[in-house]
Amino acid sequence: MKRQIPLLIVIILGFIFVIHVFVPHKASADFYDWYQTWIKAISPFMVLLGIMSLFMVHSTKIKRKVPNWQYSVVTLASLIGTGAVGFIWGTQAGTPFMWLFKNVQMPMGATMFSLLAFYIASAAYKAFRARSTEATVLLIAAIIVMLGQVPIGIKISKLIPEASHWILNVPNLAAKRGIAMGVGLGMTATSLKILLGIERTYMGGGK
Amino acid sequence: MKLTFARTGFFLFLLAFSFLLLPQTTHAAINESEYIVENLDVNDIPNDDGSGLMLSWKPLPQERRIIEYRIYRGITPDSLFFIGKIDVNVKTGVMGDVMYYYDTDYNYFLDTQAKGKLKREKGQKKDGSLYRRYPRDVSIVGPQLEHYSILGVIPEKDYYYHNEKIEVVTETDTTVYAGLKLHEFSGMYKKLIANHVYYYSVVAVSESRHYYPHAEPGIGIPRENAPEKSDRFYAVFVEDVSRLQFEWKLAVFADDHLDHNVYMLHKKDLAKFNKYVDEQVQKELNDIAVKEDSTLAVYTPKSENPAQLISARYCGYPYTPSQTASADIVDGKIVNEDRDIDVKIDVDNVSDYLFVFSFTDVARYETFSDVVSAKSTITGQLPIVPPFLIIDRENDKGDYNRVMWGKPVVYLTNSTYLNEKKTHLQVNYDFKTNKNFKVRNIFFKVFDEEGKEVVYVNEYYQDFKIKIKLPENGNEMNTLFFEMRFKCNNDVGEDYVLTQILQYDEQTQSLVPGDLYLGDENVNDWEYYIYKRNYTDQEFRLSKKVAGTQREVFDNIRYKNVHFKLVRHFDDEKNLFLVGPSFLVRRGDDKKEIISSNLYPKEFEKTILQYEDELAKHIASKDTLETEDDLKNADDAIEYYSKQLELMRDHPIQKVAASLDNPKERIKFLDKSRHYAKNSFEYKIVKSNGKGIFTETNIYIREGVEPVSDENIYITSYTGNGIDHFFPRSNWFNVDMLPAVIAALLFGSLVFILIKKAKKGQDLYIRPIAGIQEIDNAIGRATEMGKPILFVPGTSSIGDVATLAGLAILGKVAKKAAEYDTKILVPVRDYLVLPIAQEIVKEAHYEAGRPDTYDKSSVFFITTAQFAFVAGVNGIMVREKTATNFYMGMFWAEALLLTETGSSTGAIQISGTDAVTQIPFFITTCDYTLIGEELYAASAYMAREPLQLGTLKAVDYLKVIILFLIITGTILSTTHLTFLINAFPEK
Amino acid sequence: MADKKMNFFEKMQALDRRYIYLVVALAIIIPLLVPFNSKTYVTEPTENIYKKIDSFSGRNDRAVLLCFDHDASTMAELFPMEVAILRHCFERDVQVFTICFMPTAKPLMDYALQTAKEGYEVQSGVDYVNFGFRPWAIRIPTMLKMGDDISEAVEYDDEGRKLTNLPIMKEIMNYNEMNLVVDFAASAAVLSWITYARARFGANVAAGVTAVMAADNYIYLQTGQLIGMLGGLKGAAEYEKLVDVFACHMEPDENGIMQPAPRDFSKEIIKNTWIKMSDIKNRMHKTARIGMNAQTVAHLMIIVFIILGNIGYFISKRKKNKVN
Repeated sequence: MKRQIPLLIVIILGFIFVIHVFVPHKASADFYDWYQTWIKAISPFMVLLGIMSLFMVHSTKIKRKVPNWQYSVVTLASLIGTGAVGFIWGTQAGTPFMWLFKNVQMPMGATMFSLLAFYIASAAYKAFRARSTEATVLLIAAIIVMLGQVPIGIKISKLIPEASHWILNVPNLAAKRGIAMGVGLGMTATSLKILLGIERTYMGGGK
Repeated sequence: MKLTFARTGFFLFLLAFSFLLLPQTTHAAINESEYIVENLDVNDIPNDDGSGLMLSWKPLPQERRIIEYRIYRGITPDSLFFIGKIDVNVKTGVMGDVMYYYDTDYNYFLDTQAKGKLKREKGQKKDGSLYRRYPRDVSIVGPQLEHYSILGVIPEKDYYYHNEKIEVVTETDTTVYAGLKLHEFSGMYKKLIANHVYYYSVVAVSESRHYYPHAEPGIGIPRENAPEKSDRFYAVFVEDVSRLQFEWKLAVFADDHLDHNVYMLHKKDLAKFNKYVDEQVQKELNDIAVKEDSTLAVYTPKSENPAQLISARYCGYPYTPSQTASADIVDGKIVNEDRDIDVKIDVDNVSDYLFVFSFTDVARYETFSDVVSAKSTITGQLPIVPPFLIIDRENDKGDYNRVMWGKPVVYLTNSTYLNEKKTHLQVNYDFKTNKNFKVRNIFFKVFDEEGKEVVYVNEYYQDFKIKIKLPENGNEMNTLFFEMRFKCNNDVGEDYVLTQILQYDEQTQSLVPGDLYLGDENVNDWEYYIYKRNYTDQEFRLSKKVAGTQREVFDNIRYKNVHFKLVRHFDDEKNLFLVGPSFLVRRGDDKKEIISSNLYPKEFEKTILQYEDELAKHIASKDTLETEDDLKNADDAIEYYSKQLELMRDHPIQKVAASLDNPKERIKFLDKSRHYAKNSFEYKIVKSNGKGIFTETNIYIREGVEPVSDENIYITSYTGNGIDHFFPRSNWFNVDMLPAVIAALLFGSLVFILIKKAKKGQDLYIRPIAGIQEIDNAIGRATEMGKPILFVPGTSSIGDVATLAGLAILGKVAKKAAEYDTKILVPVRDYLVLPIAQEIVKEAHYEAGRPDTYDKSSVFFITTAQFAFVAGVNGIMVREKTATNFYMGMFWAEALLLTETGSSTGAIQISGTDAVTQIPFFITTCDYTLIGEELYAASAYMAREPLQLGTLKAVDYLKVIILFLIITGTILSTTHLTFLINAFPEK
Repeated sequence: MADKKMNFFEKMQALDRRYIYLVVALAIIIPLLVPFNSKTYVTEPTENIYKKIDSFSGRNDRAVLLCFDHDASTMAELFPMEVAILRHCFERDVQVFTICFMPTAKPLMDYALQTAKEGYEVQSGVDYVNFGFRPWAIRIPTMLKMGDDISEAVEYDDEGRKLTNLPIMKEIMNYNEMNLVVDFAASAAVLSWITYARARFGANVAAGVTAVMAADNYIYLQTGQLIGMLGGLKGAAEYEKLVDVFACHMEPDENGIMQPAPRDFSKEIIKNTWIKMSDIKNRMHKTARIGMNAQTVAHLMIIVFIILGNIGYFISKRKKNKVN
C-alpha cells in the first residue's frame, strides 16, 4: 500500500496532464489553474526540508568535530545571519539583506562564473589533440571559429569569418538538432516509463 | 597567535558580519531637517472628472543618497496612510528638479494581501501621524469608504454564492445589501471625490532604509473639469449618397465622458460660435473659482450655441468607444429620433457649413474640437471593405472569436546584397493571410526599369526570403518592380496581383521597399477598425485597430467575468463590506432597455410591487393634474414604469428565473444568462484612412444558418445567437496536436509490442554504451582507493525529466557502492530532490543487504544558488578527494566548473546530460560522457529488465520513423511537394 | 640538444593547468590596460540595426524601444552594446525608450542611460523616456497593448509622469511609430517580441545577445524576422565602431576646429577608416573594442597552446613508436 498509493497518484495525475495538453477546454484550463495554486501552496514546505537537511548535516559535523568542521560553523552562521537580517529589516532595496545580496552574493557568484574563462582555456588545451582524423577536423574547426570571432581573423583571410559562420550554422546546428531529437525521444520514453509505473526509482528503491 | 582552523573560522565569521554595523551607523550624526522634502505641492489634474491630484516636490540632492520617496494620504492632516512610493536609484539620483506622483483614476485601495492590523509607519513616534497601508480591519477601513469612491471587483462565483444578506434599517427606510468578506473581492480600488479635501505628505527614505521626517502635509482638492479637447477631427461629405462622415481622436482621459457629439454651423455663425465656446470655458473656470471662494459672483453664459447637433452617441465607458460616425442626409435633413435631431442642411452647398466635434461629460461640461469644413468626396473614392467573416477560433478554451476578411497579402520588408558585385540580392518578404486562404505558392515576378522581366520566383515553401540573381550589365539596378501573386487552397482569382517597388536609397545604400499596392489601392494607406458589441453594451466599442496588411484578428473574450460594484457601506460587527444586490443580466434585443435582477428573489419581488405602486399612483394622479407639463411628466412616468414592469415580469429570462424555487438554481440560471449575454458579440468593420475617408460595413450576419438551436434554455432568449451574435465555444480537442497524438499512440503501441517480445525472452540488441559499462569499474576504483564516490543528480528540479533519469542511475550506482561498502556523497540543489535522493540511497543500501552502512547525512542539500552550489561541491571534491565523480542530469553554466575541478583532483569522472550546450564541456573534461538520450537509456541498460529494454527499443524504432519522415519530407519539398510539411503544425 | 627540445614539448604535454590560467589572465589583463589598435570587421546584422536606427534620425514620429532582459552576470557583453546604441540615438537625435521586465535589469538600464548621457544635452521626456520596470508577468500583455497604444500599455514613466503628458510621446502612438524594438538578453527573450510585436503588429525587431546565444538566433536573421543582431562583445565592438565612424564623425571647420559632422552609413567609408584605440580619449566608448583586443589575444594564446600541445603530442607519439 505504501508504494501503491503514491504510484496511483502519479499515474492518474500524469495521464490527466497528458490529456491537458490535447484538450484546450475551459474545464481543462481551470483544472490546471487550480493545480498551480496547490503547487504554490506546497512549495514553501520544501524550503523547510532543505534547511533542515542543511542544519542536520552541518550540526553533526560540528558535534563530531570532523576535519574542517569550522566551515560548517561559517555555513550555519551565514544561514542564520542572512535569514535573521531578512526577517528583521525586510528585503527591500537598501536593507542589510539587499546589501548582503549585492556585495557578497553577487560578486561571489560572478567570481565563480568568471572562472569559466580559465577553465575553458585549459579544457581546450587538453582536449584539442590531433589524435585521429575526427579529432583533427575538430581541432581545425575550433581554430577557425576562434579566429573568426576576433578582429585578427579577417586580417588573416576574408574567408575565415565566413567559414566560422558556416561551421556554426551548418554542421554545428545539424549536430545540435540531432542530439535534441534524441533527447526529446529519451524524455518521452522516460516519462512514459514513469507514467506506466515501469520506472519507479524516484519513489526510492525500485521494486 | 597561531592561526588554527577554529580561530580562522571565528575570524571569518566576524568578518562576514561586521558589515552589519556599517549601514546602521552611517547616519548617526546628521541633521534630519535637511532631509525633509521641500516644495510639496498638490494640484488638480486638468480635463478629468474631479478625481485626480498631482503631487510635486523637489527631490533631495544625490548626495543625500535617497532610495525611495514614500507618499501618504489622508482626510485629516494628523492621520495619513501610505499609498505608494517612487524608487530612486541611489547612484544616479533623480534627474530633473521636480518629482511627480499622480493620484488618479481607480487605483489600489485594499485587498486580501493587506496587513491585518493598522501600524504606525517606521520611525514614527507614539503620536506620529503617518500610518502604513490600510489594514484588512473593517472597523478602520469602513469609515474611510465615504471619503472615496470605492470600486469592488468581485469574481462572479463569490458574488453569487458567498454573499450574506444584510438589512440596514434607518429612520426612513430599510435597504438590503449583499455583504461580502474582504477575501471575496479580488481587489478594491479607490478614486478621489471631487471637491473633497485630501492631505498628502512625502517621506524620504535613506539608502539604509532610515525614514526621515515627513514634509508638512499639503492640501489638495480635486475639481471637476471639462473634458480634454479632441485634437484631430475630420469631416467628409460623400456627395453622391449625401452622407456626412466624421472621424476623431479620442481623449486620453475618458472615464467620465458621456457622449460624442458632432455639430454643424453655418460659416457666418463662426464668430458667434467662438464666443459661445469662450463663454463655456469661462463658465468652467468660474465654477472652480466659486468653489474655492464662495464670495465670487457666479458666471452665467449669455449666448446660445449657434451650432446644431447632428450626431450624438453614448460613448460606452469603460471600453474604448468607436471613433467614427456618419449621418445620412435624407430630403435635405439629418434626422435621429432617439436624440431628437432634426436638422435642415443644404446638400448643394455643404461647403457653406462648418463642423465641430465635442465630448460631453457626466457633469455636463462640453469641450469642442477645432472647427473644420467637410472635405468632399464620392463613393468611388471610399475604400472597399472585403467580405468578412466571424467564426469561433478553433482549439481554444473558448476565449477568442476569429474575425477575418479579404485575400492574402504579401509585401517586401528588406533587401540585402549578397556579393560585392551586387548581382545577388536577397529580398525578405512577409505575408498575412487568414483561415480561408492557406497559401501554397507565392509567385514573384521582378521587372527592371525598362519593364523587362528580370526574374521569376516560385516560392513553394515560404521561408520569408527569396534570392534574386540580377543581370550583370555593368550598371547597378536602381529600381526593381515586383509583381506578386498567390496560389492558395481556395481560388484567389487571376487578377489578384500585388505590386511593390524596391528602390535604391542613398542613405542606406541598399534597395528599400516602397508602398504596397493591391491594384490601384495603396495598402499602407488604410487601417481596419474592428467594432463589437455584446448583449449588455448599448453602443459598439473598438476591439482592435490593425494595419491595412492584416487579414485576420483574434478577438479576445474573457471567459471569466467579474462584477464591479461600488462599496459604500460596511458592517464592522460581521466584518463585511456591503454592495448592492441587484445586477445587470443583459439588455433587451434593441440594446436599449436594461434587464436586471437581484441576488435575493424577495427583494426582486419587492421592487416589482414598488413599481406597481408607483404606476398606480401616477395613473391616479392624472385626474388631479392640470398643467400640460405635469400631465406629460405623469405620462412619461407611466410609460417608464410599465416598460420596467414588463421587463421585470415578462421577459423570458425573468419568467424562467421566477419559476425556479431553489434560490441556488435561480442564481445559476441568471449567472449563465449573464455569461452568454456578456460573451456573445456582434461585429462590424470600418476601413479608414484615419481622416474620415472610410467605409463602415453593416453588422456581420451569417447567412443560411439557423440560430444556435441549442436545447439550452440559457440562450433561447438570444434570438440572434449564431447569426449575428457569436459566442466563443470551448473546444474539447486541439486539432493542431493531432500529429502528436498519433505519435504518442504509435509510441505507446511500439512499447507494448516490444515489452511483450522482451518478456518472451527475445534478445533485443542494444548498442553498447561505453560510459555505462565503465560505471562498475569506476565504483571499483573508489573502493580500491578507499575514497568516497560523488554523485550530482543534476542541478535542476524534480520536474525536469533529466533529473528523474539521473536519480534512476543514482539508484543503481548507490546499490553497487553499498555492495562494495564504499561511501557515496550526494549533494543536492533542489529541495524536492533531496528527500527522493535520500530515499533512493537508503533503499539501495537495504537492497544490497547493508542497511547498517546507510548514513542519512551523505545525501544533503547545499543551496539553490547556482554558483554557490558549485563552490560547495568543488569544496567537497578538494577536501574529500573523491575518487569517482558522477554528474547525471541537467546542468547549465556550472558544468565545466564542476568537472574541471574534478579532473584536477584526479578523479574518474562519468557524466551524462541532455543539455546540448554543456555536452562539449563534459566530453573534454570527463572520462566518459552519456550524450543526450544515452542518459535516459542508462537506467534501462543497467537494469536489463524486459520492461525497460522494451521501452528503450521502442525509442529506436520511433527514431527510425522520424528519420524516414525527415528524409521524405526533405525530398518531397525539394520537388515542390509540400503536403507532408504542411501536415505538421507550425509550432 | 634534441633531447632538451623534446623535454620542453613533453613538459608542455603535462603542463600544470595553473600556468595556463596565468597566461590567460595576463592575455586578458594586459590588452585591457594597454589598448592596441585593431580593426573591427563589421558584419551585416550589425549594419542593419545601425542603418535602421539612423533612418529615424531627427524624426519625431519614429522611436526605438530598448528592452533590457538580462542581469549583471552578462553585463560585460551586453552593456557596451546598450551604451553604443544609446549613444547613437543621442548623437543622431533619435527618440529612444527603455523598458525592463526583470527587477535585476533595472539598475543596469539606469546605469546604461547615465553612462550614455554623459556629454550630451539630452532631456528625459523630450529626447528619451525610461519606462522603468514592469513585472515579468505582464510582459506579453504589455507587448500586445503597445500595438494599440503605448501610453496605455505603459501609463507612467519611471519618474512617475504620465506618458501622455510628455513631449516625446506627441507623435508616438504604437509600433507604427515606435518602429524598432531592440531586445538585450542572454536568453531567448527576443522570441516573444518576434511572435507578438512583429507577427501581430509588424514592428521591426532586433536582438542584442551574448555570444553563446547568437547561434540560436541565426535562423530568425535568415528569415528576416530579426532585422539585425549584435552578437556578444564582437557585436558591441562593431556597433561602437559604426557610431564612431558615422554618427560621431568630426570634421574641421574653416578655422580648423573640429566640429561634429555626422554622416550617413556607407560600406566604402568603413573599409577605409581607422579609429585609434590607443588614444586614451573617450575610452569609455571603446570598451567593447578594447575587450575584443583582450579576446583576440586570449584566443591567440589558446591557439598557440593548442599548437604547442599538438607538436608535443606528435613528438611523443613518434618517440613511443620508435621505442616500440
